[in-house]
Amino acid sequence: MRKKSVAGIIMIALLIAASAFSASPGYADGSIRLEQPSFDHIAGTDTLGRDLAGRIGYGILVSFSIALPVSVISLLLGIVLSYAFTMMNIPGPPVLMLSDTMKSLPPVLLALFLNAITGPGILKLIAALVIGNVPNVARLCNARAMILRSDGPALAAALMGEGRVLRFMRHVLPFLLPYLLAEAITIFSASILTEASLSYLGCGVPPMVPSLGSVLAEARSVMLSAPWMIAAPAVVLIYTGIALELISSGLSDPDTASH
Amino acid sequence: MRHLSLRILSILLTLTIVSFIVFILQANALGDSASYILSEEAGGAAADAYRASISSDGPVMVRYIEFLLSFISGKWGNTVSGQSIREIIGYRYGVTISLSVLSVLSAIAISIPVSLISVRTGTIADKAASSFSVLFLSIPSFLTAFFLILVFSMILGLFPPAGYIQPSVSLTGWARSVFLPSFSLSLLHAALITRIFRKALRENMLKPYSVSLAAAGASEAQVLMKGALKPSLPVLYTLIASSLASSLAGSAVTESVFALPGIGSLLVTAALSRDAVLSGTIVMLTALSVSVIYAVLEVVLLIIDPRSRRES
Repeated sequence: MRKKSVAGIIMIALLIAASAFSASPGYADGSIRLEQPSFDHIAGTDTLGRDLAGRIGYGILVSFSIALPVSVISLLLGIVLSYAFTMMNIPGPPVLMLSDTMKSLPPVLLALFLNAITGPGILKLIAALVIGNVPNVARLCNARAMILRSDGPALAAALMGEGRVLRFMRHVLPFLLPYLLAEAITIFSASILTEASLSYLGCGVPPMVPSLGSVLAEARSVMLSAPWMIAAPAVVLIYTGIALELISSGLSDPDTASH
Repeated sequence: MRHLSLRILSILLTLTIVSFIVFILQANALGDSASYILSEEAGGAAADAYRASISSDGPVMVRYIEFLLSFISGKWGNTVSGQSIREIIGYRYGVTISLSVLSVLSAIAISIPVSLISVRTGTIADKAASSFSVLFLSIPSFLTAFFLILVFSMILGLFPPAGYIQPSVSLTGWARSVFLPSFSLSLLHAALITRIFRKALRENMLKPYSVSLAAAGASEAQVLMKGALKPSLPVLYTLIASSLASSLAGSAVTESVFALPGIGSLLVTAALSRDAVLSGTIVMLTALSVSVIYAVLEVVLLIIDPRSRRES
């Protein structure tokens, strides 16, 4: 099963390398508007004659640099919450009740609202995405903590007077991490989609930054005459989806983990 | 019952927190809206008078209470362009609700048979269903919408690519205008429901009650329908509720692609025109409907699942 994760990680690394290599916001060139894919422009050109491969590459980097902090922050939050649940005896239900209030503010809604208040921005987008994921992370941590807290080895270590941090690192974290990582990957791919959707609406990354969403927004009006403008971002997104799926399925499906 | 009172308490908590967030953010935006509504150069007395007129000074708690009271009594104010928010929302809410309900219903119709057929691992049906899930969970919903528009309206010419027809004008016209939007939303929901519901079915097929059924000579199909299906239903209901909640709150993209006059596309307009009052009202209303959906789910789970009554 580990092989799948490695394959997924290689796929993502290749995508990042290719994007970094090709990324450029592109220069408008009226003489080559809406050209089909060719050797010069492997993904074709857009309505202003800009190289699509460059814009998509740039968009991927922007997407990833939003999705990565969101999943890392969610992961860290999960670790802190689990520490609180297992080692500090913070009761789960009140925390869940609080975090569930955020369920009624899904990321798209929150991001659009923040947009109405102060306009688009990358940090605001990251904040909206993190807040939207809090309820799921808290639920997952609480469910795991209930099982791990009363687990034999953790209990034995507590009776032997082992310190909290050491106990957490040795008896809780290793069994928690596969679940949290799987959740972080789900959050990563959901964040890419949310970012693309919001940028499509003009409420994601600022308009001058190329992104998958804004490329697709331009494609909307020319989808019959220039289908490659839809095809190229779609292929990249599906490729990313498959790679992330491979990584998370290779993380040894948590429900059959050896624990 | 204790569960129910807890639930009502949590709805109130949710609404208090959400309304406070909305209020605080709005109050900060309203400081800016003086320059937006009057003029860039407006300052001093004119701006002060404007701020007083929308009561953006005074103690925070007093203003918060006023804000809450006016929301509860239905005085939602006007949009930046001067229309009554209550009228616009009243007109558009029905569109979003019908879109959400239709999409969730068709998602159920797609995902339940698919999950049941593909429950056995390693079969062709399993691989097809998994690919279906991965595909629609890895492309954004508006891209699905593009493909549907391309195939069904541009090439086949069966459905209009965008626009909305009131059911009172023409019922078939209405059905045709909401078919593609609800279908594209339902593919996304179906992908998610299939993935998680099938996992629940598989886990329940390994539980003692299913194993003992199998040992007693029941066929795999019988084990699935008699043993694993019922204990997986709470998962299914939870998924249905969260799909409904997410399409009420997050159909902004689909509504914009298909130019439907719903709440989601209204929120996008509000976001682009920096309308803090309109978008705040939409956020509060959505939070309210989402919490009601989850409360109903909780009650349904209490009724159908004895296990949820036992704990605590």
